Amino acid sequence: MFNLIKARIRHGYQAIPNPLKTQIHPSFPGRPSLSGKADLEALNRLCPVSAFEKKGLDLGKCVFCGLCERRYPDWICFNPDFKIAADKRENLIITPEQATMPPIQAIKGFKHSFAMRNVSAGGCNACELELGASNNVNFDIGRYGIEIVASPRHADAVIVTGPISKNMADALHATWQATPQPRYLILCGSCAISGGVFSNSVQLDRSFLSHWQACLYIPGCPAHPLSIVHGIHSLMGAK
Amino acid sequence: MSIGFLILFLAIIPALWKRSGLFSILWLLGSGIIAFEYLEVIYSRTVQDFMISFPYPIGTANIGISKLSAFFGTVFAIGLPLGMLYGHFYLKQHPSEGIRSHLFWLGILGLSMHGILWMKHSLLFLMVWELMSISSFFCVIHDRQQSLKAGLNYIITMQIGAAFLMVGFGLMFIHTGSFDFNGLENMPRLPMYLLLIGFAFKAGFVPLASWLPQAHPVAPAHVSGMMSGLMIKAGLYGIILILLTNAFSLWEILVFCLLSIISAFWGVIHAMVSTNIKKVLAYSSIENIGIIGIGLCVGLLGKDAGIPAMATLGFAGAFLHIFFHSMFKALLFYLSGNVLVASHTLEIDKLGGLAKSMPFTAVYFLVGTIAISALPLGNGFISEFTILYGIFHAMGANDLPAMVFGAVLLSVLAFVGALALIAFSKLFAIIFLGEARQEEARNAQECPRGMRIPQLVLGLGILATGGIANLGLRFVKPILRWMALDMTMIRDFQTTLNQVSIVLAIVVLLSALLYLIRRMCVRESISATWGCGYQKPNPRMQYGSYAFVHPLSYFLKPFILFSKKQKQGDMAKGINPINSMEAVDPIFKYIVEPVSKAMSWFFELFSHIHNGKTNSYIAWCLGFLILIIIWVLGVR
Amino acid sequence: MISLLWILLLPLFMPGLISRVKAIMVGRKGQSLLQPYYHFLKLLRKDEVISSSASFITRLAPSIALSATLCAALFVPVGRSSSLLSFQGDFILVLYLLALAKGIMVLAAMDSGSSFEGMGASREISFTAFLEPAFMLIMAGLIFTSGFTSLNSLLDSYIINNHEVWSLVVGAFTIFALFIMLLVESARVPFDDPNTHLELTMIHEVMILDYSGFSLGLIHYTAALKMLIYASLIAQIMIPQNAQWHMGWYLLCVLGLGLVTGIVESMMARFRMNRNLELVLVPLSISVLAIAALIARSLGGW
Repeated sequence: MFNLIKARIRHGYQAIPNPLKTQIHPSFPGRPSLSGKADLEALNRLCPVSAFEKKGLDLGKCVFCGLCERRYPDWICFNPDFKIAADKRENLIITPEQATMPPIQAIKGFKHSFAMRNVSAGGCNACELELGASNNVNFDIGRYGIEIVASPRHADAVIVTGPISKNMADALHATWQATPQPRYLILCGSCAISGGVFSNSVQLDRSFLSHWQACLYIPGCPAHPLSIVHGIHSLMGAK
Repeated sequence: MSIGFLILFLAIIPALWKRSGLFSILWLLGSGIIAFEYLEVIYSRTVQDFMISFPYPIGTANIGISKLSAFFGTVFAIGLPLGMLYGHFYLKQHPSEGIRSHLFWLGILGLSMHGILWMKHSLLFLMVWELMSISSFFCVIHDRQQSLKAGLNYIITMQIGAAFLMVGFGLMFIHTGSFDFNGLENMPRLPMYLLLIGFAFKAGFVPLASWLPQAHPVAPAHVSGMMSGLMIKAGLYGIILILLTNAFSLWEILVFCLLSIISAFWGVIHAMVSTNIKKVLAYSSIENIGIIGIGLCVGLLGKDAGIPAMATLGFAGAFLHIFFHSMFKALLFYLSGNVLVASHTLEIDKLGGLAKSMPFTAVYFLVGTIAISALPLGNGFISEFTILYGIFHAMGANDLPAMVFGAVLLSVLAFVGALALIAFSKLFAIIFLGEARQEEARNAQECPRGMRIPQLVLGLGILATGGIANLGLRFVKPILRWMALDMTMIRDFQTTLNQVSIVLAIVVLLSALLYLIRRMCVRESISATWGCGYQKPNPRMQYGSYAFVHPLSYFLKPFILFSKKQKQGDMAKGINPINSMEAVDPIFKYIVEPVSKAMSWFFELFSHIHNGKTNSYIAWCLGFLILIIIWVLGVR
Repeated sequence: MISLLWILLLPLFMPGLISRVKAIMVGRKGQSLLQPYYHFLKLLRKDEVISSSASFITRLAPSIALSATLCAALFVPVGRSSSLLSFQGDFILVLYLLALAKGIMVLAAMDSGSSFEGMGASREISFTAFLEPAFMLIMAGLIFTSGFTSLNSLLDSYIINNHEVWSLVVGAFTIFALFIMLLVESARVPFDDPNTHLELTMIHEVMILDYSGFSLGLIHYTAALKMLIYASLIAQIMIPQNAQWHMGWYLLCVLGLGLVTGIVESMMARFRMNRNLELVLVPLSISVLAIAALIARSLGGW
């Protein structure tokens, strides 16, 4: 017991004081900015997941590999800004010269308490690890009253990670049906949002997403815990 | 009174014509009249006593009713007709041969149960007692197949008990020179012990109770209900009769105390591990007899230690429990009949989910469960509350045995209550909740309305006596006064019970309010049970009856034997291995079975006498007569 | 009236405090102290998903459990103000009301037909078996000092006398037994882990796996209320004689208990399941010791 107390004193206070305002390491590839003169088609040819569309860069598809930034540093640059979650699919598309992400519209009635059930729908476990990390001592998502629960019955939201493989489609559906109203769907990571690197695979069954509208998209491959914290916190509408 | 009994006697006539409906109606009518008169005896000073002359050797016999027997009589008069009514509807579902004799013996059983309360003459008492044993034996072996072995076990046990009674009464006769029950007062020890043991056979104290779990599962539901709810109370009647008329030393009380504790504990742990509904109920009867015994002990200890409140409340609790147990145990046995009719099995591990197909049965069973596990709102709570209340008076009373045994009895009552809660929540949960485990339960349908009438009456009775806590005490109070117990604190206790009722009313109202709020505000949607991501569960994966009690059976291993059966399978041929486990009663295995084997060996020695030749039988009779004549002449 | 307000408002503070203490112990910031209140209010507004194998028990159980526990709580004194209801021997009713709440929740868990919940139900109800006699004996012990009265006046007149060894010993025994009972009954760490619903910790938390929305809110509230009942019992025993600020002492004790529970929870790992049942015997054996000491003393044998 004394060893425990000694260790406790040595480690001190470990949590990031305010994860919403903290500075992330400059090398972190976060919200990209596109310059007005960027040739999106050239970028798209280079992109392994064809994330560039006519309007701009689709963060829902982007895997943040940085290939484009290394080849065309003048056209695109990934800023160390983790606030990249969006409440609508179209808001994930970064248009040229866009400086910030559009604000996330908060849902009502969950200001202080929000429970999520994670479904790993064929994910590679990276997003799941980051989701777990967001609940660790450093990021401490619990401080905002956000918790990840064991039963969808206790949850307000289902947070999907992974591209939704055929084998997980039923499980996802069952989990969704087991969640009481009002319920929300959160997609975490490029795989969940668009299929990511697996988007053309025949083993996916993403029909679930055509029935139900997600209310929060957290891009990233994997999504960074700070992005997750920021996204969910803004969704709750807490100050 | 005589009109009532006349009607009950007349009820045998429709029984002979197989008219079970008329039979039960006559029983309802007659018992109504009798119950009314019994209550009159309880509440007034009129005592019914008759002196009747009988031919030799009985002589002039006192037949009459005291307040004590009137109490038991009321319990019988309430319980029996409901059992007969249930039997009428139950037998309709099980049309079988031998209804005529069954109804006949049922009538005799009921009459003899009333009869023993009237007899104050030991020879007459023994005759009626035998009649009760024999008639209940014929009722048990109604189907004449599987029940025969258990029935024989039952009748032999009863005969052994009766033998103790005979010797006891004989010694009493030698001591006092009279067969009258006045001789029960201040008896010498030996006949008293013999009588107590004889009655304990009937009442079902451990280790004399092994007939209960054998006979009940095979008997028809209404018979087991009446036997377990009412007939074993006849044994208690005898015990109480002796307890009230004799003074006991502290050691004797402590031995009785210990036996009651063992009975309660033994009964409840076997109720926990049994998997047959009626076996659970039978073991729980042993437990409840133990609790009644504990109540009586508290009363005796209170008398001994000079703590009047403890004495009064102990006896009050015991009488209340006798009354209440007759209600909830009968109800649960009748409900087991419903389950049997609906699903054709009594093995709880085959059942499940009956609450949805049999909602009424489930609700009544829930009421019975609450009552039998002594939870508030059921009447079992009121009687245990009374006993506990009495024991707490011993704390700090400066009397060592009262305090030590008070503390022991407190913890035993609480522990047994908790174990009963486990046993009966298991029973209710496995039968009625979840999903049907096997085909039998899947096709179950609610029973016809008639079967539910007696259950409705009993269920309402349980809720009424459990909710209005004073109701039972008002019934018991005259008997306590008759026993010359101190009644000064009973008024305070009644106020306490009123307060209990108020709290229970608050609980009910509050939960009704919350339930209504939930009903109004919450929208429900239905979805499959959350299986933690497992998509293909099947009903057999639900928690079973043994699994449910497993954490505790780790502690109770020394008291329970498990016989494990393993059948090797052959996966190549598609034969699955079967492992099964069954709880075995050590008393039955190590005492009853060897004794019965020894007995059958002994009687086998005389089997050549039974050679089927009439002339040799006549020779045996003749020889016997000659012996008797020689003996009589020699004695003269 | 004020004590009713305390009983209604205070319970949810305890779990909030404990999780805050735990958070600080591991170096987190931790959730708001009022988080359980937010959580409760959110759940009340939510709709429910009911299992397809559920019967009337599932729908009825949370309201019965809450009202039984609430009525039990009305007998427990809060601070100086005496309890709302009290009569001689009311603690028997309190114990059995708590048993009713537990029994009905066990049935509700079995109602879902899930083997996980069956496991939780079976363990939960097995633990009770040893706690009920312990509670009875503790009450019997209290009676030795102040006679057979109500819970309220029993606790009111129970005084741990600093100058008498037996009083200190028995008092410490009683408090320790009640504290272990608090840990068991409110599903705290050495027995159960309220943070997870995994197979390993399948006791209380797994029983409510199938509850959602309004009913779940009631269940959370019931659990917190039960914890407050035990905490209040301990607090009332610990309040020193002639204390000036009764309510202050009471709150101090209750919050202190929350603190201790949180620290215990951060320091200890959960026990193996069959070890648990052995530990549940501890309050029983301690209360047996206490009552033996009291009997010996009352007969002048000390």
